[in-house]
Amino acid sequence: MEGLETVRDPGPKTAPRRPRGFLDLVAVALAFYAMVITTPLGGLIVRAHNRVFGVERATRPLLSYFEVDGQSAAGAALAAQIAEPPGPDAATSVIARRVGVSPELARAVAVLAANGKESGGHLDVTLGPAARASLAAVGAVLPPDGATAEERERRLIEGLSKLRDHLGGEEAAVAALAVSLEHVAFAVERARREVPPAPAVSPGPHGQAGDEAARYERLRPFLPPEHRAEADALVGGTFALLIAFQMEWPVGPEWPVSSPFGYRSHPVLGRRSFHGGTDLAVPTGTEIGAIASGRVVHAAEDSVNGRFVKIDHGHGLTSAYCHASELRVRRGEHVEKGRKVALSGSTGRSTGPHLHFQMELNGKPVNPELFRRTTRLARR
Amino acid sequence: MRSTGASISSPSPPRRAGIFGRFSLFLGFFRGAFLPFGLFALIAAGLHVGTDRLDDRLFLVLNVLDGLADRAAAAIIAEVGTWFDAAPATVSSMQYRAADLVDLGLKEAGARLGALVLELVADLILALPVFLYHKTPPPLRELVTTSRRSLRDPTVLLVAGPAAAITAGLAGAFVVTREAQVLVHSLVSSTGLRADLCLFASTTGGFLALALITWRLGPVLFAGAFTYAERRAAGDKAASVPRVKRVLRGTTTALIALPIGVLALDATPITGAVRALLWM
Repeated sequence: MEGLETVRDPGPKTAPRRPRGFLDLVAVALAFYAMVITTPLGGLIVRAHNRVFGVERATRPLLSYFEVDGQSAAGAALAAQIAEPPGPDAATSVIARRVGVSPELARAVAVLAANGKESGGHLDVTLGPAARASLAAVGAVLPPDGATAEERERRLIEGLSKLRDHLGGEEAAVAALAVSLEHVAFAVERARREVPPAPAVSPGPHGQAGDEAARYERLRPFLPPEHRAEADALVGGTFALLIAFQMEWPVGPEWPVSSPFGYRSHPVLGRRSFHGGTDLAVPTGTEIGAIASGRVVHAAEDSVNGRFVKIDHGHGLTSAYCHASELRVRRGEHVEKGRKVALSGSTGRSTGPHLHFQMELNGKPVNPELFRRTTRLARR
Repeated sequence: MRSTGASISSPSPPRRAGIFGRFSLFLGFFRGAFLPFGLFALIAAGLHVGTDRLDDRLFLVLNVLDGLADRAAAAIIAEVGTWFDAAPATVSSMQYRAADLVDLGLKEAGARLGALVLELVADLILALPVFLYHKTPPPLRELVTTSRRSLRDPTVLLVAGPAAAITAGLAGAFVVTREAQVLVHSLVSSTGLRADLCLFASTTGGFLALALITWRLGPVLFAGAFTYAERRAAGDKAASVPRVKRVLRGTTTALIALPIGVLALDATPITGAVRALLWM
């Protein structure tokens, strides 16, 4: 028998020990549970289980178990160049104004829900199981099967306003599209108990209205850990886009773009390089304004960027203003939208006076011109 | 039972196990059946941690290869353009189109697919053989003796096998710890307990899970991997397999599973703590 000593009489103090299986079974169960949740092999096992027993447990696509460079859905949408701010007459804007949601927020939510896909000029919104459950719980009308992209977008915006009214804030409402309504409502309640009382309605740093406890950073610690990543991606991406949609250009509209965002060298020369920002031909001494409110994370000088300022606007969005002749802010300062943070120049690796302006989302450069209002208006 | 001749009094009867003890003993009879699934799951979870870091490196490699291919394509298009007297704008446009054939999305998908394939292969060569492991580790003294004997005539599998198993197993143990924390937090927080108590409960749960996995599965995994490699080497020797082939058995494990295991170990708090200590 396994584990027994049979060579000599063990004596009264060392009685034969048979293996005890309970702890081993618990260890095996824990290991198996972890494998099923975290690995693609586990995903295959769940699929096989669904097929054999005819159940409908949700499974992830196998490739989604791997995250390359942490690219978010918002980044993908921006990279796909479809995340344009809403025009005043766009269908999204009309619906949003009717239900009392800002057009920029409605557009941002729709862009994330569409994951970069368009259909017939409208965002091809897909509602996941959590979003459908949350919207149904607040009495929102769900789009029927086979609904057009336009109708799906409209239902999503209408449902968003109901969620906001139910939960007391826009950030909580967006979180409820990723996590079940019960969990978010519970988290808002916990945050309300833990957070000191604040004025009933106070605008957020980016103008969003709502209860202080319904701010995502307040309620996040009370969300189930296994759902936080999804909620982070959706809320972070939505509000990063919202900030970008409401941004101001750092210099006046009269200054031309001397070198746009994207690839800018000829591949034959072997010097095909990616330009991660936009160069604006401005004379030395031109005032540079912050595109949105935020906190200054860098106000420094180096050999490549010269004198530069970098601002963190929250939700993974940052902006940088390089080759300045003079800096007007210090590291750690909070700045409002439009505040003059530097004067342009030609410091660092620069061939002449200009502003190198860069926007990044979760560390990935995005095209600033996509959000430039004059560009947007010129296209319409 | 053999008499020792020295003992005069009869041995006291063994203490009777309670219900729980008897249930545990009953489960012990089936240990050989369910234990391999735990070892398999532990290694698979650990290997996934490694391949999840590998995909970024695969992406970099694909990026470099794409860059080289772009340059080659651009040179070929330029050369062909001179044969047909093509306008510079036409040549340039075709060069950009060729460069854009493989875009960021395709490279990302390729990196993920590559990582998935490598993980499934590693599961096959490292995780699947656990079903052939001994379920009870031999005593430590015996293990040390046999290992000294075996390493006089080493094979790649004797070194790479246990190393890959232990690195993947350790990484897997930390995955189990994290998931146990999440599970406990989820269960406890639904009762309405205060946030700090929920956190304490989840941390304790995670620590207990780590201790349990390390104590119950760790020795079986390491000893099992080693004795399995030893049995394969002995089998090859008995079958008069050529020496080179015998020594090189386990090369696939060394080339695929072991690097993934090392990458996985690098992602655990162990290496973080070691780095912090070295930099202090």
